[in-house]
Amino acid sequence: MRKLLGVAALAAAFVAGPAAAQTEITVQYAIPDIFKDVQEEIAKQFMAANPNIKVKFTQPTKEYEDATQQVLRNAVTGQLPDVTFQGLNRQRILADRGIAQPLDPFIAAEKDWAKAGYDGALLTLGQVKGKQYGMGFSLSTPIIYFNADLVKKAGGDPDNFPKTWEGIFALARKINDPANKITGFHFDWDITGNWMWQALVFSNGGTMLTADEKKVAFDQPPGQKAIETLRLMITDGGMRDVSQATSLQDFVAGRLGIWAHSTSRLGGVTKQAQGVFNLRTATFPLGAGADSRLPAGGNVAMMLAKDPAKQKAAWEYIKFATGPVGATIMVKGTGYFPANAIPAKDPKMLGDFYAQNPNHRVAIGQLPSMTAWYAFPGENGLKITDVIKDHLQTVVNGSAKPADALKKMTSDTQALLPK
Amino acid sequence: MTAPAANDATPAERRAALALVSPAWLAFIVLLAGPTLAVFVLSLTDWQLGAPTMNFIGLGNYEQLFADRVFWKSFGNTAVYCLVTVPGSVFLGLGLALLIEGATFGRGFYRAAYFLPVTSTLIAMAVVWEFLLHPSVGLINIVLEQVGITGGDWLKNPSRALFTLAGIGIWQSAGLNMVLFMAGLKSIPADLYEAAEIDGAASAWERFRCVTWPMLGPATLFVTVVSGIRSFQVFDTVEVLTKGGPNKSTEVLLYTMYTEAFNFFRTGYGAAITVVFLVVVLALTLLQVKAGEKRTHYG
Repeated sequence: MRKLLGVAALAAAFVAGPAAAQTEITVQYAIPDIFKDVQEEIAKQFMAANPNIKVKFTQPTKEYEDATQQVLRNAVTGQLPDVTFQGLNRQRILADRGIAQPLDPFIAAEKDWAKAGYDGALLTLGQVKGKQYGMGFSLSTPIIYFNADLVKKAGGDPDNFPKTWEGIFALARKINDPANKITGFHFDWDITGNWMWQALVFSNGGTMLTADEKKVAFDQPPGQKAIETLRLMITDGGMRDVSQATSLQDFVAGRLGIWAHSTSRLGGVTKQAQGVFNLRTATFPLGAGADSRLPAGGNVAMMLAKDPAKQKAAWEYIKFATGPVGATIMVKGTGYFPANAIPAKDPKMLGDFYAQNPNHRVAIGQLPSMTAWYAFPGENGLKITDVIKDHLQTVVNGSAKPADALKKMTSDTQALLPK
Repeated sequence: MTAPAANDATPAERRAALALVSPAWLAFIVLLAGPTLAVFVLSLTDWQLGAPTMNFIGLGNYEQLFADRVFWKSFGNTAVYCLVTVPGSVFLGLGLALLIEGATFGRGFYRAAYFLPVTSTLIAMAVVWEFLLHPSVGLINIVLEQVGITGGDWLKNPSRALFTLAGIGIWQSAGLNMVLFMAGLKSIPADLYEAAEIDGAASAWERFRCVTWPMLGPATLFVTVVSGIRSFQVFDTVEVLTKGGPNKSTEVLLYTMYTEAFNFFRTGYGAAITVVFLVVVLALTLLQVKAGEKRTHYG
């Protein structure tokens, strides 16, 4: 028996031998129903190109919230993954707690960084207080999806889609057909992190807080316009008070005419709409001209590894996943766009893809208005987003007047900000 | 009871006794007392999940908690949920037990049928309920439509959502209560009924009032305490079906604790809610047991 064990141990040592020279890194990501295939393909190609690094995935989490939660728990138990993909508005939590490693030293050590394709404006989306913590992986932006068949039937022109909310609501009223269970319009106002609320305020030229982050700024005219628009969606646009799951189901079933959502679903919805209806996209209405901004959504790759050898491997992986190869895999598999400029210019990578998929190109057109997905400061940061969501709900279900809700939302938020 | 005997025990016997109780004590300390103490200590700090530092802030969390609109809303909702679910499931359980005991056939089938909700996983069942309650294609509204009633949205209507959840709570726990009552019914001696009949309790209702109900006292007390604690712990249906919404109308204590500690990462604050929760459950148990000891007839 002992002899047998000895042989087994020897065999194990022999098998493990070559692997010992490898550095193994663990990678965590969220939303497997969008990212599983993409992440696994990237890891496969990365390991083929870097045989000395082995990539292992931890169990992916369903949502961004769980991904942050898991990292924080891992920080307590000392089992942090080396690389994590986090929602853009979650970087602040990990940076403030000192869990994420700043990437500036690694960027400084790169020789040809200027040619690596990382656009300056898009890099800022991964910065917290001036330090680079995240490298943009997959970015999204709010856009308008529409069912071109329903729009045409209602007398609209899919090639000249309205550019204002008023225009969209007028069209939605014509599409609305309760007898046939067809709704004209839906706006997923309750996307996590007040993302769509930020989109409404930013697109009207406003901000969440003042520049010093001491005072609420969404009570100013842009915010007032934003909350009125939210109410008008119900009263003028015929929007129902339903959950995101319902609006998605209705849209892919061809029972919803116009749908404001993130580009993140574009890949999946395109597949589902095939053969059901003609899917088109349009730009999100911008109410303040050149001052209009839109929040970027999506996730960034962050480094959590502390060991220098693992850090080196993790950095290689982050560069690969967010670089041209990873970006190409990611864009083709999802509706997101990359934070790297190289692939869109290269016909072999994504150039042809964008030429053939105008629905995906709309998001690229919104790039100049892109700004960060705002995360509120202080220990109550996440609670504030919940408070805002509750007040927005009162506007959507009609239990509060928009102006009153905005006033309450302002005072409640102010009370939770760091003094 | 046996304290004097312990004093007479030899040192060897005492050591043996200690060794014998130690596994139970160890489990109690590691699994119950320790974590409870840790939660209490955490509730006195400003610790946030994953934060490198922790400061002792005394009763700061509790002060903030008692000034928090959401906490009181959540506390009130939990109380309303209990006040609906406990009587609902206790009386439904009792009714079912009496009907099944009185049945002449199919007892085993009915017992199993009504006990099924208890054995099923509530999370999975909540998903089934979600389909049943769907505003347009759900079975409940389709049936209501047949009789000319517009069902509306059961989970998104703020004045109705909590009661919808309470209904699911009753459905889930009535079966367990039924089984407990059946055990109680079995232990009532048949001669009491004969005696009652001779004494003039002719109707079934009279027999129930004079014999069954008083004799079920201990069972009723136990069922009520258990149902009360179970409904105070409601979480699964809220998490799956409403997430505390719309507008906190179904926010319950454990859900608030969960969001504060694991969504907002305010662990110290979440610990304070847990302490409040533990105190309430303990108080409820003690109150009911004390009250019950005086009034319950232990046949």
